[in-house]
Amino acid sequence: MHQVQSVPWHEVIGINGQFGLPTQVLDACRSTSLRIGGPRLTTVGVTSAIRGEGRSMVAQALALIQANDYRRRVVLLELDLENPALAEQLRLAARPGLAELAQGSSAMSEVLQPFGPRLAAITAGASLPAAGAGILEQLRGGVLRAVQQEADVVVMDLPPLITSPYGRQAAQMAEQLVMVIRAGITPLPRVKEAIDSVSPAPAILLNGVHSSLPRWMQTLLSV
Amino acid sequence: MRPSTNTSRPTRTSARQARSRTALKRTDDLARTHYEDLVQKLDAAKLDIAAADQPGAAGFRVIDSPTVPYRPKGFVKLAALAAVGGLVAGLFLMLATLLLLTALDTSVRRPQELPEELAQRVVGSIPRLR
Repeated sequence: MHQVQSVPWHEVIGINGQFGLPTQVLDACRSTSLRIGGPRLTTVGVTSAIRGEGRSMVAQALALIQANDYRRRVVLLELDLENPALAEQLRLAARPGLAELAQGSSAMSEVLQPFGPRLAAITAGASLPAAGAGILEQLRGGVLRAVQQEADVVVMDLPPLITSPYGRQAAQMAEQLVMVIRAGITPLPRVKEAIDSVSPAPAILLNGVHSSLPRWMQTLLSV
Repeated sequence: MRPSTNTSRPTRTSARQARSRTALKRTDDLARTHYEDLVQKLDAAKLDIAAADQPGAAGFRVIDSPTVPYRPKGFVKLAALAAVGGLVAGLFLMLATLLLLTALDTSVRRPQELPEELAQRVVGSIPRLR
């Protein structure tokens, strides 16, 4: 892994701003990270039932917390090959990435892109959506182990469980799975369907639960 | 030449009388014609009255022809009623739609809304960001 020079904590906060991650998100993910294993995590996957629930945001927050709070080396691995967005969000090169690594056309050092202290990312690369299943096979076949050797913890930005053809297959590779549910958006039957599709059942992180009602009304209505 | 004068006087008188008679006769003819016209009109009017007095096929007769009003009777009242009615109906429709959407909404908004077996798996919640 590219070793990034030691950066004081206050400069890491500056990176938060670059990520566009609000403090509330980091706080919620910090307690989530603690409850699912904290510094003992080795491979954590972030998934959801459908798209648009906040998977990438939570994956980035978990990676940042592992790097900043526990001083661990983190690799953020993008596995959503159908809809890659990590490169654009973190202002990284879109390729080479996981696809090139799995196909053997690029070395590990070429695909690992540092973006903060103890933080590196592997983007999806130039993969075709149809090649997703093959890339996952390559990951199982040893590529994932090679990635794990580069870091203390691998945070995987997984595809959604229901709407992606290989979402369940990808989720099985994570030791600890976190499923993001967008409050007020994801229907409960879809949530149940997604949770039933993976084993063991994932930890649930609700995204966007607070009411927009005024505080006095929330008190009055007990919400 | 005197006798000739005497003989021409009656002749002139008779000619004047003849002209007067002719004029009177013409006046008389015109008056008669006018009278006959008036008599004919009177007969026609009597016939019309008689026809109007007869009941029609529907069993009634039209005394005064109807006219189309240029705007509804009580227009302002009707407009106010329509506005209030529309407002009330719209309010009910909105409430019904709201209730229906709420009833059909199966999305999870709070951890408490999850079934117990799922609620136990909730490890955190991110507030809604504005």
